[in-house]
Amino acid sequence: MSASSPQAHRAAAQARFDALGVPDRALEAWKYTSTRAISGTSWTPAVAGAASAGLSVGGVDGLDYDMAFANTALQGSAGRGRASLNADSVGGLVDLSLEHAGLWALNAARHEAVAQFDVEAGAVLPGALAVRWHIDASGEPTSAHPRTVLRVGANARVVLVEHLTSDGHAWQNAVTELELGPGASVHYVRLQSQSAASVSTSALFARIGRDASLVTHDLVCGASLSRAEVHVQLAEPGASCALNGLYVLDGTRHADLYTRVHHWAPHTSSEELYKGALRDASRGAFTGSIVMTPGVRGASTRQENSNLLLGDEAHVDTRPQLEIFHNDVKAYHGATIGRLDPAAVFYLRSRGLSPDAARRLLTAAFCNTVIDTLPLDALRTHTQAWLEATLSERAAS
Amino acid sequence: MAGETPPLLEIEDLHVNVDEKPILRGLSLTVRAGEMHAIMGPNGAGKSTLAHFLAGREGYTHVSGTVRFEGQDLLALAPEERARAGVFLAFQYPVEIPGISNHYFLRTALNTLRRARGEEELDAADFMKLVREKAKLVDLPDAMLKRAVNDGFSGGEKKRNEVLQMAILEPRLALLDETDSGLDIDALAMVSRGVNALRDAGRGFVVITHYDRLLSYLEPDFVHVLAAGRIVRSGGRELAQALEARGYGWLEGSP
Amino acid sequence: MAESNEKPENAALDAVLNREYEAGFVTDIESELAPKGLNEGIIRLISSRKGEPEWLLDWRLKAYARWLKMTPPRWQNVQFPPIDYQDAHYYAAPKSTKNAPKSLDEVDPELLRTYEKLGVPLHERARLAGVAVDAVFDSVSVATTYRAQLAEKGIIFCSFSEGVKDHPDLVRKYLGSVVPVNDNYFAALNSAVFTDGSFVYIPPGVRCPMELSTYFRINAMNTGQFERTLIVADAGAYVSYLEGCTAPKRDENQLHAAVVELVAHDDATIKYSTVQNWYPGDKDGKGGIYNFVTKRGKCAGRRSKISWTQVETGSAITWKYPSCILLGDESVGEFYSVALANHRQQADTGTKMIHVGKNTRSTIVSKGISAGHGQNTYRGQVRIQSTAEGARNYSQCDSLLIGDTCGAHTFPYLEVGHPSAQVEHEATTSRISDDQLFYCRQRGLSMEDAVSMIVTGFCKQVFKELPMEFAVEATKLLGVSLEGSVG
Repeated sequence: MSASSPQAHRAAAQARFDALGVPDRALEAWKYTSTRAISGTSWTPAVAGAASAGLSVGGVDGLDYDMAFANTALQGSAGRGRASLNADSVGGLVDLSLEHAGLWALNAARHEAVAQFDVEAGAVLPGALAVRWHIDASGEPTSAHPRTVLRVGANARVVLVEHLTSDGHAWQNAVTELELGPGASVHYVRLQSQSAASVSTSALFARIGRDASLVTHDLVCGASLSRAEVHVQLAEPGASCALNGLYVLDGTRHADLYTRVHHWAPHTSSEELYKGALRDASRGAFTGSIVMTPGVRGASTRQENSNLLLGDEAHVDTRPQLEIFHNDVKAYHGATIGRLDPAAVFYLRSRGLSPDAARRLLTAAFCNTVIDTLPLDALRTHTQAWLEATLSERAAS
Repeated sequence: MAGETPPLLEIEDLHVNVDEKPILRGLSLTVRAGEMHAIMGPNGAGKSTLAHFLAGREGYTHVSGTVRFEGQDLLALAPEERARAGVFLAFQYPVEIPGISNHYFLRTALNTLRRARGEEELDAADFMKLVREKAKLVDLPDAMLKRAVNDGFSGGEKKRNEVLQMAILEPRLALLDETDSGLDIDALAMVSRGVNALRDAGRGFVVITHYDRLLSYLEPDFVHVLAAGRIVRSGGRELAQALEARGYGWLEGSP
Repeated sequence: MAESNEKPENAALDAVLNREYEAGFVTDIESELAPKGLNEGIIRLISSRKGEPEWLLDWRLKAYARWLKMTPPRWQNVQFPPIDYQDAHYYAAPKSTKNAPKSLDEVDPELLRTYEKLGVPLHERARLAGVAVDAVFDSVSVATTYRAQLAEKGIIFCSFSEGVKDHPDLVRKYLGSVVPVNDNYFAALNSAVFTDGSFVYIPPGVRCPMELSTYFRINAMNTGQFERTLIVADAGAYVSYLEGCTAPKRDENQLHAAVVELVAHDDATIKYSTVQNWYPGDKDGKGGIYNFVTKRGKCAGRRSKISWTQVETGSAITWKYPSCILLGDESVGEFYSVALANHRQQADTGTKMIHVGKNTRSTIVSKGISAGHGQNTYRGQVRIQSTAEGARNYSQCDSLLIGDTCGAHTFPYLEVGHPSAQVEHEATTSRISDDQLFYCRQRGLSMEDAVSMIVTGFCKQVFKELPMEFAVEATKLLGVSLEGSVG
């Protein structure tokens, strides 16, 4: 096999995974999350079979999926994209030399199907490109490695939605690559709605060109263990990004949101708003790393992470991080952890709401600032319904 | 002529670029001590450029022409040297400096000036007496001056603060950069009163403004119109009134 | 990247560069140096020279055994060549003082002259300012002033060595109770070879009437300085302690690995202020002090309070995280810091606030200034344990960048495990704005004075927490350290 063949790439990636293994708490990047749920389970690789039944439920109403994969098999056509066996990757976005690249290497070695989208220069796509990845793992613990590649030409505008769902005990280890040409505008939504017993690890890598902009939404709506990463390179002048995230957890669920934005060029800007509501004994972790290399004049960044602790044993670890190597920049980050304002709760109760209803309302209001900025009515409706259902699940909170 | 004192400010055929673009294109102006000159002009004509360039701000390229302040080459001096020589710029947008009180800032500036002139520095007590006296001119109470420089000051208060500083530092040449922008009638009246109180046979003023309003309070000796980088018309107050009535387009095509 | 700018006004500034480090000189007094190297023998030598009791020698040896098993830590943001621990002297006593002098009259006049150069004229300053000074010259305490006055109130303020001799039970009770021997690599090293420091004990209900202060000096070549300080404030007591250091100019890097332990009982307050002026290395980063310090305070009692205030402008490398463990209900921990990294200095500093008791509060205000090729990193941890009901924390970390070649990094870690906790953290990074600089210059201030003024304004929140005389020294220090840095 030639050095640049897909097989060669996979072999090299497998070797890299063998060297690194599944990342664990010893690594700074994974400091707050144990991966025993992954390394301590014997996973059966998903195999295309008669799992398409699962696709008939759980989708987003009003969203037309371009591609739907059931246990790695494409169901029907590929809509406005194409499905491949091997990733025709955007070069250099995923740095496997990093010490915490284990899971990305695994995806590079084992991805079963790739959803590829190429949007030509100047195109303005109506609606959204949407991909659904579903795993039926009701038999035994099943793993899969979804991979998506989106290339957007100059000045094109597009929305891309990736929806991850599962039944039973699944592990989906996804990697998504985005390349934005000059002036392009992309809104990416990762909707993770896996079953309660599942594990979700996903990493988004984006390279943003001159004057292009990327907005992302990372919605953690399922899985017992979730790790959602976003890595952005603001590669050229005028590039900008706005990263949003929402995690609402209960029981003993654990979600780890990790973002890293690297300002490589002058006059780039980044914004982040990540919010979490944690009940019962759930645990959340947030890392927001912003790096500004020398030479980035006129760059600015603003990052906020707010957390509501709603359970006696809930716990959150948050670490916003700034690495600034140039002086002509403006940077701000803020993080808060607290509970609902008792004055606000009392106010609602004085207007007739029960304590639970008051708390639910205030928690929903807290989350809505992230939900309100989702593109597409269908997504907002779906997420709001999910939020309401989640918050009403148990009377006590 | 022997024995005659040089003018306070003498600008001859000044050409200045900003980011390679020519902004001042052959501007000439002479200001003598005791005179107040107003400069009006459409936006983008170069009014603020002139004020900032004279004060020594970076970002301007001197292409050609001379600027003499009391006979010496002003452009050879660093901003603080120009200040110590007696040039004062009242900013259009005065900055805030957190953590440093107005009092402290002013006292430091004044004493630096006094040192440069070979005069004795003022101690805290004498300085406070001076400030209180001058602050009456612009109605800025002690409580405000205790705060950090321009901290939380409204637009009008910031302009009054500029006039207070002028009153304390007693410059020989005062450049007022759109001091009237953003001011309501009352603030305008107060600021103008303060400026008028500082008029003196030994002091010259260059008042840059977009509107005639301020000039009705100040009544300058000369009015000039700056358009396309040069002074295109000079006259008295009636020139300002004509511009107010007819707009700057009226001047188009003038040499 | 160009070292400095080509702009004409800065060329003039560059000429005013790098004022020679004031305290850069070496005393002529011969010192008795123990041979280089670190082993059990050296430790026994140190212990016997100090006349220490068996239990303390034992403690040291156990610490040494622990240290041997540990590996030096590696930090992401700080680079330095590996330290050869065998290539240093661990004990140096000035020859002329075989027995500790009972009064200043017995002190070697050469030594007193050294103190004068350092700005510590013991008799004059101590009397006028009412400050008791415990001057540590290399590894032996030489003089202590005002002990009698303090003793009247039952306050103990003496060198650590004297503390061991005169108050062994107290020292033994608290030593290692806040920073255990195995806490980190440098704490273990310090526990094995610490030479001297201060011991302070304030009895119940007593308010210490003066600020207690200490001076240090690393003199003999290759002498690591291992200070050990223990301050205990009993119930209802109050003490304010100042630490200020200078060091002479040397070419070899010098290691300073100190351990400071504070214990505050019910209703007690300890205020610990540091204005640090270690030799920072020259323009190219050669020969500065390595300052690796473990400082921790235990708010053991209810309503106890510990405040750390520091202004750090020296050291080639600074690694310190003054911390508070808030055990007592309603206890309060505070950290106010200004850290400057200029030329090629590297600072990795911050604080840890660990909330354990109920209704505890912590405040962190950190101001970092980076200039030249300096790299300034703030690393702060706020940990709210699951027992810390009602915990409150507010942190503010601001960084100011001066010039094109420096760096400022902020790494807070907020770890919250109680639902009633309120934690708020904010950080900003910015540069001195051109507008502010021009405004000051147009009012006649030179570029240097303008920078100095703006930086002082930036640091004001921290300076206001320093005792008066320290605040003045700190402002001057910052000004001197920033000379020539503007770009």
